[in-house]
This record gives sequence, structure tokens and C-alpha cells, in this order.
Amino acid sequence: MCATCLEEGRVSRATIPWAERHDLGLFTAAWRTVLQVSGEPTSFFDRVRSGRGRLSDAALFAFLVAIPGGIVGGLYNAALFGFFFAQGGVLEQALGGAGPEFREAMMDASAGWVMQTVVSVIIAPFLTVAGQLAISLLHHLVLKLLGAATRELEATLEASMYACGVNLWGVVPILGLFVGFWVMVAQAIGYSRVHEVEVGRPVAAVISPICVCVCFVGVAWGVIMAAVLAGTA
Amino acid sequence: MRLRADRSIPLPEPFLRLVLLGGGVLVLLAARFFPFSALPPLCAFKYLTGLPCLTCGMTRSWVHLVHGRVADAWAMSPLGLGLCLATVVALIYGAARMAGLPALRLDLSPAATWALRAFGILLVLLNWGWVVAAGRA
Repeated sequence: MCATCLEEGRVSRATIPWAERHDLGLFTAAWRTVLQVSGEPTSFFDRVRSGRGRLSDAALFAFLVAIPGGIVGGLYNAALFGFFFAQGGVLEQALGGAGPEFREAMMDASAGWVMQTVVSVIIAPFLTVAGQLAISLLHHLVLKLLGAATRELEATLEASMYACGVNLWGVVPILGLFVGFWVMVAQAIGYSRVHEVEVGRPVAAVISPICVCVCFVGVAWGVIMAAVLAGTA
Repeated sequence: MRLRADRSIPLPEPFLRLVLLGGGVLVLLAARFFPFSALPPLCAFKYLTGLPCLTCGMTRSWVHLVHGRVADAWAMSPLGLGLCLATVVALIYGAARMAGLPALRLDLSPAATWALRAFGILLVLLNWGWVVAAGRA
């Protein structure tokens, strides 16, 4: 597809499902976008690059995809509360009836827990988007330092927001354990495609913020192990 | 190296303006009003090694600065003080851009670009040395 063909209308500009949400419907568009980000990220981010998307659209997508995760997290929280509440009854019996103070404390705790669950469900999507935007700013900084940011900041943030589509799989038990890593892979591919650079530098940009921490902990671990080995020798 | 005003550079889209300006204001407000001093030390590196990490002291440096304690902010982390001031300057620049002022662009030769990057890394390492010498946690 060349620019002239696009200008003359001989071919249509390939778009992502989320850009066609007014025709497809919000949920169908979001679902298809999640599937494409997860299953065929290279061609998906090629279309993000060639499209005329706005960052706010991408952020809205990331926000909507984060909602199921927040709800499932809230349900887990509620289940955990139920478990502890049940254990509270057992504990009271074991104590031979701890009295009204104990029951009052349990009721206070339950009210606090319900409130915490509701708040976490409501604010989780906001925190997800805000956190990803913040980390993407760091990614763009590293891309700049490595000379791999061939386009403006919006391109990096847009790719990162769409990569968050992978977060939806976090609601699946077990699969949720790998979602963080999967998002990073999608982000690296996304940065590589939207900035049209090889994948090495985007990978470095994605892992560098956590690499600093891991290296620190690695050094610390080495120091401790050396001390332990020296002590046992 | 040349600093120039460029009116041809468009403003970022409104959402990104909101993210950058809102985020900048939010972190400054957090530094001013959030009770960071009530939190326990959170650095795993310090916990494991006894040494402060690369960014230890930055949050408290911001907190000191937004409370007007410049000397304390410098003592806690010179780089944190610099970043906080840079954030304030960036917010003023962003507001000025929205008010219609032209964008500022720094034209650098490739050699100057690399020199600037090396200088940035050197500053971070010097700051770490400062923080280690001061025994921050």
C-alpha cells in the first residue's frame, strides 16, 4: 500500500477494529481488537501506524478492557472477605463466644472490606490506564535515548494503550500469571512497528525500567550469596 | 547546539495535553499533600544490601522542595531536586504553549546528542554516589 494509492482512493486505508467501533459496536470492536493485539500483533500495529488514530481512542480502549479485570479482582476480594468472615465465626466459637465487641469489630471490618472492594472495582481501570501511561512515558524516554523514537510521543503511548488489550486475559485463572509478560511483548512489538525500527531497541526500552530493579536485586542477591558462601567455606 | 522557536510544530492532541499537564500537577500535589513520611521505607535494594538504590531519596527530595525546604531537598537527592524543578518548568512551558507561544527546539549535532546522553548518565551516577555517601534510605 503506497501513499499515492491511498490519496487516490485506489485502496482503502487498513484500519483496526477499534477505529470502526461506530459500525461494529463497542463490544464487538473491543473484542476483535483484543484478539488481534493478542494473536497477530505485528500486522495489528502496522495498521495502528498507518491509521490516523488518536491517543484518546486508544486510552478509552485500554480503560474498557481494564474494567473486567477490576470486576474479577473485586469478586476475588469479596470471596476472600467471605472466607475471612466465615473464619471469624469459627474463631468466635473457638474463643467460647468472644462477646459483642468481637462481633462489632467484625461488622466494622466487613463494612470496610465491602467499601474497599467497591472502590477497587471503580478505580482499577483508571489506575491501569494511568499506570500504563506513566510507564510508557519512561519507555519513550528510553526509545529517545536509544535513537529509536522515530515518531512523536503519541505513537508510543497509542501502541502501549492498545498493547493493554492483552490485559483482558488476566481474568482467566493461571493465564493471568503471564499477562504482565505478554503485555510487555505486545508493547515491544508495537513500538517496533509504529516507529519502524528493529525489535531490539524497543525490547530494551520495555525491559529497562524493570531491568534496573532486577539488576539491583541481582547484585544484592550476589552479595548475599557471596557472603553466605564465604561464611560456610 | 542551537535553541530556536518553531511555530510549525503543532500542539499535542488534547488528551495528551491533559495527561502531561494533569500528571505533572498531580505529582506535585501528591508531593505537597500526601503523607509520604508515614510510609515505611520501600526500597528492596536498601533492604537487601544496606545501600541506597539509584533513585533512593527522590520522593523525599520532591516533598522537601514543594514545602520550600530547598537545602533539605538538595541534601536528600540533587537529581530529585533537579527533576522537580524540571517538572515545574515543563508545566510552565506547556501552559505557555497552550496560550499560543511557539515550540522551542534544541538542534544538536550527533556528537552533541551523544555527549548530552553521556552527561545525563554521569549525572545519575554522581547522584547515586552522593546518596550512597550520605547513607540515604
